[in-house]
Amino acid sequence: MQRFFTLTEAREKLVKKELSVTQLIEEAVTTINTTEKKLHAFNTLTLEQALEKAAKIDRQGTVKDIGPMGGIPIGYKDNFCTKGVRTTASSNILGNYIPIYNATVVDRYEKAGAISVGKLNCDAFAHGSSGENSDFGPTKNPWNLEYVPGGSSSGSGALVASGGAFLATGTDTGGSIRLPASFCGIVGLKPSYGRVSRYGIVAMTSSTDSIGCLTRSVKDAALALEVTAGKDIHDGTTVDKKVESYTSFCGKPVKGMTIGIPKEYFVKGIEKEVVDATEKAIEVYKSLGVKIKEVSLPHTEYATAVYYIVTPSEVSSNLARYDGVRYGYSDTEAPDMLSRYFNSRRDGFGAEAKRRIMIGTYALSSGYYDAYYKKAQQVRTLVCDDFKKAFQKVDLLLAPVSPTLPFKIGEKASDPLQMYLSDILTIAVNLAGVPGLAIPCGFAKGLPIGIQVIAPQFEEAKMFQAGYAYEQETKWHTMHPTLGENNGKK
Amino acid sequence: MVKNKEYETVIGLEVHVELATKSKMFCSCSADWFGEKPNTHNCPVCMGLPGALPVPNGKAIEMCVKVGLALNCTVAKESKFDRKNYFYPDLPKGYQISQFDQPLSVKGYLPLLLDDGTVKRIGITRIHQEEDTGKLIHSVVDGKKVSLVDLNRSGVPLIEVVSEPDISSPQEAKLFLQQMRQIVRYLEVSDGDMEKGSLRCDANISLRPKGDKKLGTKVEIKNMNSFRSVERALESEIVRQTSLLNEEKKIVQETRGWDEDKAKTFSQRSKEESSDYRYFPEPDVPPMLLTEQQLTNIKKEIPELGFEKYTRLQKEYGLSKKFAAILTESRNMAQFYEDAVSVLMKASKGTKEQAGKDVANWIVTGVMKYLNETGASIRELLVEPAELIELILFVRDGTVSQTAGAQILDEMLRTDKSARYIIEEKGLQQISGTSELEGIVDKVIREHPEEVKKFKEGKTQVIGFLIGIGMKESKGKANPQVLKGLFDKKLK
Amino acid sequence: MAKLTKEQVEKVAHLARIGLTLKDTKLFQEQLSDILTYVEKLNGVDTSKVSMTSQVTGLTNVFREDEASPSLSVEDVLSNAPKKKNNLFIIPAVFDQE
Repeated sequence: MQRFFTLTEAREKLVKKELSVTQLIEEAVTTINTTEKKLHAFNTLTLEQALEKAAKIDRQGTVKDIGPMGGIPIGYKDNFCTKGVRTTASSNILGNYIPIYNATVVDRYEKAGAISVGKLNCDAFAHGSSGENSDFGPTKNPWNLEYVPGGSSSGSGALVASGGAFLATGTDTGGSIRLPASFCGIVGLKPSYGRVSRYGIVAMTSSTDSIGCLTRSVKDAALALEVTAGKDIHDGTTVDKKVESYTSFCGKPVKGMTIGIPKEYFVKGIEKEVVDATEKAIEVYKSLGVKIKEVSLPHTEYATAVYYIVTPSEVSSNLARYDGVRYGYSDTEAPDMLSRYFNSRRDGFGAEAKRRIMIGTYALSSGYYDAYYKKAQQVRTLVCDDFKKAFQKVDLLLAPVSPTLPFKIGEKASDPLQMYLSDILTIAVNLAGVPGLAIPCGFAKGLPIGIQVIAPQFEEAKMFQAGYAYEQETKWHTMHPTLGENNGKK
Repeated sequence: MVKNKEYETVIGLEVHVELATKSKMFCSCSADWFGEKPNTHNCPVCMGLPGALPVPNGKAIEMCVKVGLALNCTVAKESKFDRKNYFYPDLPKGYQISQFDQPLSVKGYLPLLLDDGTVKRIGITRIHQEEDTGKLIHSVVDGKKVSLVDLNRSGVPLIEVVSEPDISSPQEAKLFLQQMRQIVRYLEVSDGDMEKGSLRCDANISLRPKGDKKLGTKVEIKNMNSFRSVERALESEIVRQTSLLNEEKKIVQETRGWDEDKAKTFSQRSKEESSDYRYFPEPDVPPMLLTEQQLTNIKKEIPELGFEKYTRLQKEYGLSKKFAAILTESRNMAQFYEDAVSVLMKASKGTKEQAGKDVANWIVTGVMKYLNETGASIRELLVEPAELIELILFVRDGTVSQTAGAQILDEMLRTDKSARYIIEEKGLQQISGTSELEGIVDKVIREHPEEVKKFKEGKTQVIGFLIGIGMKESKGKANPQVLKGLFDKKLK
Repeated sequence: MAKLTKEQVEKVAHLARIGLTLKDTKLFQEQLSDILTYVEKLNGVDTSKVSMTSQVTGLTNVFREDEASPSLSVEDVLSNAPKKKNNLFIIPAVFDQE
């Protein structure tokens, strides 16, 4: 069974022709067809097209010539625009929206030969930490179907963990890749802001949206970044820095590196299981010859507050285009334009989108701008400075991804503020634009736990180096859920 | 009875200029939208599709800076874009990318040339870069009143020039706009055409009792689509506000539209609700830092402007204010004029002033007349400066008369024939030989005994009439000096 | 932070063009107030000498060449239109509200 291969392993088999692309995609299709009923990872399936594409690749010859992702099944989070394939951002307001262009990242994956199996469920407009804010219903955690898979890239986490694909894209605005990776026991890559193009990805918080992926191994994530990173003329915030051979850093020794442990990340209320797993991870690094140093990121406690001003503000503006005029849900029977706006947006947006639009509109409105938006962006400067100072002393930072284990579906759904606090350990990274890599580090109560390795801006290579070393030492990434078929872990 | 107070008018203008770039402000769709089929100039960016991102057009920024420099502004070394958030169906993203607290240029002035030849400085508060909206068309579909959205114009680069409230009459407001148009045309950053909407204007107007320092309540006037309508709308608004003030009624701070047909302004909405634009820095576009070097390079590209030319032409060629204003109205006209003067200077003796005045006369009376009649622009002119000079030289050396010269110029302008060709084709050489002209003089004397009698009685001024008849007889070809000599001799 | 009034919530909803039911308004009064109270902790940070961070890349002067390239077909432009006719999007009649 190859469904639990890593991408790298699968590619090797394809290149050596031990496996045909059709065989690989057929197994993905079979897996998805059985798991999807339980998980609800997808909004739209493109399995037929995937099989056709696989057959075409097999007819044409060798995978090697096609590209580094030749024949590899991939799922796209449903906020990635895919030409001709419905893209909803899991919101009713885009329920029937068919993009007329591809996101740059989608183009890059396609050019590399990846085969899409479909569009993945997520919190609507990526607003959420659990996947429960999808207007189409929540995705389930493959390790325990009563639990959330983490969000907002909930479908991505569930798909990759359950063996439906080796790779799923995600967006990480405040933790939306790292959190589901951690809750699903897989690897989640949030690159530096500006490293990967945002063009064609439904915008949430323009200044923190990072485009990454969820995979089953660190090396797979490194490969995905090689394929997607780099300047895009359609995104003025992408940098023109060289894209390194990230995979070649997977395997380099980590001896002599210094990893900082930010003391503020062990917040009040953090669960013991999480602390224990993190401490074990620290021990693993020590055993590999890494120097461990406690560091301070003193403004961490303010990050969430900053985020919940900056994000809704930008969201209120980014979601203004959903006005029922050019595309998307529209009350076309409304008697006047004002009603068309009010009704289309009332019925098209879910509760969380509305909530964020409302907070943002309030925070930016006349008389409140200085107290909220300006203040938040000033404190953000201090959050950024914390990282700069810390990285003068250490190569990388290590911390838990979430203060808690995955929680039950419905547990936090009625209390938005409690939900917002799920991102308490991931948000600062987004505000500063630095990269983070979530890696599985153990289990408690049958549910996965993850740590994150955080690197200075644009120094993803180092992050992969350290992540890979840990992964190889621990093998948590080889554990797979059985979706309740039996309680075993393999 | 309360005696009506005298009021003075305070006007500030907000002028929008659409830039003549090839592509739009934030995407590579063609900016040449005017008259195109609806919704054919669009891409994900300018139609505000999910996921689309703006990348600014460097050329537009350069043009905006040019206008700033031309209007004597301080150009910001650090500048950025902001989002101006509001809902309107012609605004696809639900926000306009504009500039709020760091515009590209601030604090300048336009030296406004008034009709009496004096100059008044009108302060420029700021100039910023933004993007245009789409257009709404009002129509009836299936018996229902609807609006239709055309996004071709969406995202076309636009600059907004905001003046200080230094303008004190509708007439001045009109002149300000006309001179703004002249400047953007000199800079070649826009066609400045109000009818096409390339130049648009909103006006803030208030009245206050003469001598008062405090400004009155201002009213914003929109939809004025020509220079004339700006003047008329403001005049009508002054009348309205004056009568309200005289009746001791309050002026409401509001936006008013201009109804061209009824020649009245009308209330559109009060200010309070709409003004909360929730500006914040545009996260998708990195800030702009202008180096001294870049600024110097842009400065180099700024030509001598209309106002500078106007001053120089008076000094250099001794032109009247009126002629200087006419000849500098457009850059091409001024160029044509100065090219012609320099050709004439090379081809003949005489002072610069003589050449300058001579050429100015020919252009203002001949070329301008033709342009006004046909509506053609100086660019489309068939006559080159050197060709005009050839004609002037024919007149100067007596080959053709002044009268014939004017006819020849008219023909040159219409047909692209050279002066020499027309003279030969029509046999318009001036006749200066006494033997050829004696017959004509004799005929005139014979046929006008009354005038001859008057002349002999001492009313010598009648000779002008006789010369005129003689010129007519010769079909304009006779040399009037020679005619005069002959009459003098024969009537003595 | 005092609780947001009904009027404040309604005003914000109007600015954001979101139709609210009475129930929504009530719920938002609570939830927005909670969130805004939470973010008030920022007031404890001295930012008198701190500038804003709106972007984190350090990029400046990112410009595009002024070159026009072909636009989408009008069919593509209108492909998702809720209501259209003669290559235009149809909306209810709008008269200079703005």
